[in-house]
Amino acid sequence: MTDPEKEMESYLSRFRRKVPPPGFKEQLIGRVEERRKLEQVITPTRWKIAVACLALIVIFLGANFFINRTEERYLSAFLDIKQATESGIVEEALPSVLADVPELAGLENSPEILKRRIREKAEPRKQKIEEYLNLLNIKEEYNGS
Amino acid sequence: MKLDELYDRYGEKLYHYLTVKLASAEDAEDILQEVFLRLARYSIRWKFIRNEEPYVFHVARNEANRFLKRKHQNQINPENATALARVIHDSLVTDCPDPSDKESLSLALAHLPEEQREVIVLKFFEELTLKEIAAVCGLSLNTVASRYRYGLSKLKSLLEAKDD
Repeated sequence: MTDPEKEMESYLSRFRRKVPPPGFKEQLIGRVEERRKLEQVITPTRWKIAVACLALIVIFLGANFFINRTEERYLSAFLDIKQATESGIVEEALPSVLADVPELAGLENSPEILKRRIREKAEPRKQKIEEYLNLLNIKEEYNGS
Repeated sequence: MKLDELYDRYGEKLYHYLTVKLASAEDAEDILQEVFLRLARYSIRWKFIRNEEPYVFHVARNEANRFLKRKHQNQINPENATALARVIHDSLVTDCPDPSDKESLSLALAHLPEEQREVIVLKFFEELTLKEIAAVCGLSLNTVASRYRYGLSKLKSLLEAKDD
């Protein structure tokens, strides 16, 4: 260590930090304790319970979605119904609808009219599913389950 | 560790360190509160900590840096040096009969680069060793030693310039 450094060190050693004002400690600790109490309203156990409930809800919703989808596929396969979106149905049924109604040739691009026709065409399929479900219900009632 | 005990050991040192680092006694009080809260939350870690003091200062330093980042004020501007000098002046006591000594030192410390000032403040006023300072700042001992040396020499030249 060089002399100028020692010189500076001895100069600096004449200074000390000031003590905080009286009551500072009590005030600080009081505030920290207060905030600790607020934090502890949601205790770790409560956090765990909340997370577990949330996880159960997510699992239930996921399972519900999965079961619905499986059931839908099963029914479609059983009744030989194509899974079709509305636009898919429009494309599929467009030529036959136009053949049935020649006046619509000019209104070919009117999707509202086409959708209505197609819905009417799809109606028997829905009825078929409903009938099947009714049959299932009757069967269950008959079996007493 | 209880808060009471924690304060008795490190409270005053931390408060002084934070006051100089943040250039404000009010901000230092708020951040000290955060530091104590954090330390109370980390109570389980105490068992595994060998050197408590550097750890406590490290937590305080991180908290202060986060605060400065939030305020977009990582470095003390030269324009704020006078305000910082005032804060340093109010945070020190001296046995020197000449009050201008304290004023000169405060001004010189305020004009030091932040990293050198931090090392000098931790060494002289918070009484940490260079090794502990290295642990607090996450730096090598050589870096801290060189900051300390350069800081002292710059401080000396600033004080001499003031005398001239």
